[in-house]
Amino acid sequence: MTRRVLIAALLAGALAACGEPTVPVRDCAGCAYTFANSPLVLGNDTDTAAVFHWPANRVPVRYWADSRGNMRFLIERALAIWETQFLYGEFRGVLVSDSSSADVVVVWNNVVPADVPPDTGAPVPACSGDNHSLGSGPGTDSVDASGRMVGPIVVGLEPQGPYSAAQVQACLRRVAIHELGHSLGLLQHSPNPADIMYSNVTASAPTEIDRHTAELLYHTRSSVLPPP
Amino acid sequence: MIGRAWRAAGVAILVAAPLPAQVGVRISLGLRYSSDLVRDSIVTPFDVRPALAPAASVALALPLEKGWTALATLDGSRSTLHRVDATGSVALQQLTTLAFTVGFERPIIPRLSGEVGLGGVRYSPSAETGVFKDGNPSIAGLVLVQVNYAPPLPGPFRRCALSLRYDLHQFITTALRAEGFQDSRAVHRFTLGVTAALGAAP
Repeated sequence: MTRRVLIAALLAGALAACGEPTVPVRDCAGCAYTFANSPLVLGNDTDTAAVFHWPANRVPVRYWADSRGNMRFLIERALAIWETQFLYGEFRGVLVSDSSSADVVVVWNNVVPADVPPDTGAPVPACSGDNHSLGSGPGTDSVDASGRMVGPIVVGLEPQGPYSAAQVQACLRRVAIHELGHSLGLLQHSPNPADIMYSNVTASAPTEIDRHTAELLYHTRSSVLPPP
Repeated sequence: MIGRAWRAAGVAILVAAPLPAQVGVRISLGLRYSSDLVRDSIVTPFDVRPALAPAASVALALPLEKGWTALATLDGSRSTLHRVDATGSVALQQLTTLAFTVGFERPIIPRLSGEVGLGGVRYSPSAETGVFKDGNPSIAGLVLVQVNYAPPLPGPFRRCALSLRYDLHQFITTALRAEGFQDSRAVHRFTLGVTAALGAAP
């Protein structure tokens, strides 16, 4: 009797030890949006879709934030939010004090907004951002013939329209996350209005779809090399 | 809460221990291999596993009748957690494990003894990020089997032994559950070490 119990316990233990947990299903429809810029001029190959993410040997990615206003706070906050989207340490960012050693430079485009507590009301388009990287704005010539970015990614933020300083700050928190999403390699906008990577940002943080898209991007082979 | 439980367990063992003359202490140092904590596939498959780790343990040994010895062991190791795929390995963070077991040992043949034990293991990451971003897993149950070989060594080394420890526990975190993992993974650890016995125990 004792021997049978022992054998049963050993078998149960062996089954527990050898069982292989099922990997989560991630290829569901609508779980992610397109992250590649297509087509992009990469040397002479105009058919190549640009997929970019920071390689493991360039992590943590070095960000320089404009020292005026609360830009440093906005970027630190946005980096922390993006870092928590990743389960396997695929992306990390750090602020550096020297812009010449940065991979990503974030500046105020024109006016430096007042640093006041953010408005808690409905989102309004009280600011804008741009991203001079792959195929966005003047950055279409920012990749050399070998497929390597020729310089740091430059992100700009600025207040817009007749809005209060509090509304501007609330907007900047959203748009900083959005623009840093582009700097991670999310080169396209999401078609879903609820996502942080939607063109007119109203979300305050990445959604599960944003997170899944970023996760997929960082496990996809990159066709563009980071700047030297 | 868990810290208090560990402390209470330690105090209980100290209180329950008999006279110091009967109890021996064993100190062990070794190298530990651990199997994968996570296996996943996002576009391509990859694993998350601790690197080879230095391991140390201290055990209280109480001789019983008929050659049996009761053991209470505290074991720890610290290593770097890596994500490993076909292209290479990326260091994620430092990971410390602490395990407490109680078990029994008896001689198998001359110079060779075997131990079985039960206990718990707890992971302590250096940062609550990645698979630990939503917190540490609680203490997981652990079973262990260990064999000790005492070679014929001269004077000061005569109470040293080579040990091979195998233990097994299950691993999953809140973040992994949120990602869609429904079952925990069995983690197998092998530790090769050198043990020195102090005090009265064999």
